[in-house]
Amino acid sequence: MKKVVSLLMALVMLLSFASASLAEAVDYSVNEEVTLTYWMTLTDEKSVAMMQGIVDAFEAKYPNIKVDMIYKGSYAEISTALIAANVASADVPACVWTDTQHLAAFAQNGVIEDLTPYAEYYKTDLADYVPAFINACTFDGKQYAFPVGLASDVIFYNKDLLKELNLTFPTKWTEMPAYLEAVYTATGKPAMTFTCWNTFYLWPLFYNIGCEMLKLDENGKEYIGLDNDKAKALVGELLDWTKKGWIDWGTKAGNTRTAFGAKDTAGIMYYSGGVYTALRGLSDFEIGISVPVEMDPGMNYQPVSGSFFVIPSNQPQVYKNAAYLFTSYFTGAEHCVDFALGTSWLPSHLSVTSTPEGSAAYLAVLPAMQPVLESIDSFVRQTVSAADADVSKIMLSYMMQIMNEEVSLDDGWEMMIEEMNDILSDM
Amino acid sequence: MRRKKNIVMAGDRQIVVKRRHSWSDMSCALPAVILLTIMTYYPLAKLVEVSFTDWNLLKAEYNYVGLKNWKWLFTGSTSIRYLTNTLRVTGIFTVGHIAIVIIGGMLMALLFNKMSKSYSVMRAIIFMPRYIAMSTCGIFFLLILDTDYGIINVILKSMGLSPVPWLEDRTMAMVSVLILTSWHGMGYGMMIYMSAMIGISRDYYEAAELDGATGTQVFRYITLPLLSPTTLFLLITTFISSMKVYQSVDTLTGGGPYNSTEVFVYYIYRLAFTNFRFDRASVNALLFFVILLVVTASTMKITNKNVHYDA
Repeated sequence: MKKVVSLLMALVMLLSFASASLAEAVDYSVNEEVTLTYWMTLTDEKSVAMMQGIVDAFEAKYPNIKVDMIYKGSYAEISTALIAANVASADVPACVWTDTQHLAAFAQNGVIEDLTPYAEYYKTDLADYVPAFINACTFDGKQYAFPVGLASDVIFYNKDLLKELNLTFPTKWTEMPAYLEAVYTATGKPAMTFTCWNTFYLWPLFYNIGCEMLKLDENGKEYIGLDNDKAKALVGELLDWTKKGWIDWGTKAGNTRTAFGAKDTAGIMYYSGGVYTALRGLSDFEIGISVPVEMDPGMNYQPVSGSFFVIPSNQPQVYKNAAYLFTSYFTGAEHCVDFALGTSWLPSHLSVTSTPEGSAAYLAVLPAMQPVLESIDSFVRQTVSAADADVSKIMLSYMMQIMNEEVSLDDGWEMMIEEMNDILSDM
Repeated sequence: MRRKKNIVMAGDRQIVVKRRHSWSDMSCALPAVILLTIMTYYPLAKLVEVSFTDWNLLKAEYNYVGLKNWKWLFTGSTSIRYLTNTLRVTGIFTVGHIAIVIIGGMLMALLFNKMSKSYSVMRAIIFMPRYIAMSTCGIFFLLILDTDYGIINVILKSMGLSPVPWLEDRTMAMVSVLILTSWHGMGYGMMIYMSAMIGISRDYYEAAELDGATGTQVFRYITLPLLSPTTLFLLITTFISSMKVYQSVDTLTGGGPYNSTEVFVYYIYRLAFTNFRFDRASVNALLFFVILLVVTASTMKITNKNVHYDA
């Protein structure tokens, strides 16, 4: 009896080892013909043609993989469609171009594939990506996406007006009040429009005083970084400037950039590529670009955000392998400059951004981006969190209510923190 | 005829035939029962089940968490805040929409109640928005109501008046949603009232004329009471559709500014598909279902007393 039990136990151990080793032996190769479905969001002719060029080059390099580009609507629509496809386990695309808002939630719930083993298998040079860009694609120490179109958060200002007033754009937060007052006194219009339709534009203000909206404690647990007097004092200062008319708040991208172009405001916080896309042709003055001003000493970091490639988990392995080859090819250094020039997003590889010969081709076409490329060391990723979408909405809503004086700073701030904590408490 | 024959049969054979008939009656209703079960009762039962889970919509699996979501709904400070706000917003919208559809629809019906070709064309114009998808109407109104480029504000500015923040101001955003939804639905109210007016016997009006009643008296004492079944019908159907409003809010304001137009259905949608809290969305949806049921039943009971069915 003892012998039989021992034998059985040994057999169980052997089988468990065998199953474990079998489970690890995932085949990452693509040895059959595969047609990938690729959901994307761009519609303008120039961008689609540029993407098609990259797809054609990829198909020529990998003849057994075909790529079907499908326009699937906005990022929000793509996310909803991906969730539906994932739960129904039907019509799941091979790869998806989306934004980071739901990256953590998707990663946490197994909606998208952990690309870390793929990167190891294919020896992808992740070190050549701009660190903030590739870090923005990670969650819980694992790689879940590839950066495609990214931008940083900058300030555009009316350079001609500043020349006329003999002013320079501040580099420190402490210089801001005098600057804002001077512009307001001279023009009677706000010196700066803070944008409040996405927390991406509020992020540098709070991160650079050590009060990022979502932070991680030493145990990796998330907490609300705004729950302190320092953050509240900053909002109080902004409220004071708003009441004086020195600054105002934009809640819609279209109206904000139109106001800037029409000289109704002397500066706006915007995404870096906007100078060549959204703002193009809107103004008859020279546009100056400044990186976020220094808040606490040495703190003038700028967040990066934009769009990413993810690979849904709920599909056959060979499709995931082919999708990995496609996404890593698409975002590789080879197409980096063409893609950045075609879209005005930032080049995503250090071999382009941090070498004179690499950046020359880019800056030759988009010279205004020089200060942005020069500040690449101050790029940081925002916290990738499953709570980000909810908490951001709460923050935007309360910031605007406080600035419009529909709720007092004390009450608004308290309710905002309470609602944010409610979200975090049950994640 | 066959039934009559069956009735005169006696004993066991009569019972068997009756049973056979009830089965054949049942089989006629079966397709509808199956459809209702699949499309209504099963989702409702599933919703009840989900309300006791932690399902986040992102994966197929979930755990049962007992009454946790219900406790959150009734005791969580933020849930109560949002619930109060959405109920208030939905109530304001519903009252506004019902008033516009019923009063506006009745006035339109009185105005266009002439059976000539030109009036037919005018009626068709009033009713036409009903055929246009609400999302299309929403985009159309976005262009009309834009603070900077919208045609209304352009006209106001050209007249030297201040532009109206149609979609940026809390009150005006609700007014804008009401304008859009009512523009879309008022023609329907008009048509329903018109068909009811045609059904009122001319004898009443002739008798009133002989008695020397004024136009207002005719409307107050004849038309209005005899339209009461129609008004009840419109009240109930408009109440239910107003409470369930979603598309006009989604396309025009997205629930903003600052949740001032966040109606109940939009709130449920936001919880489920933006916040991925299907568990919390399900308890809210069930609560909403109960509210609709109770209010509709009460409205019918209360208003039925004042309805005249003798037209």
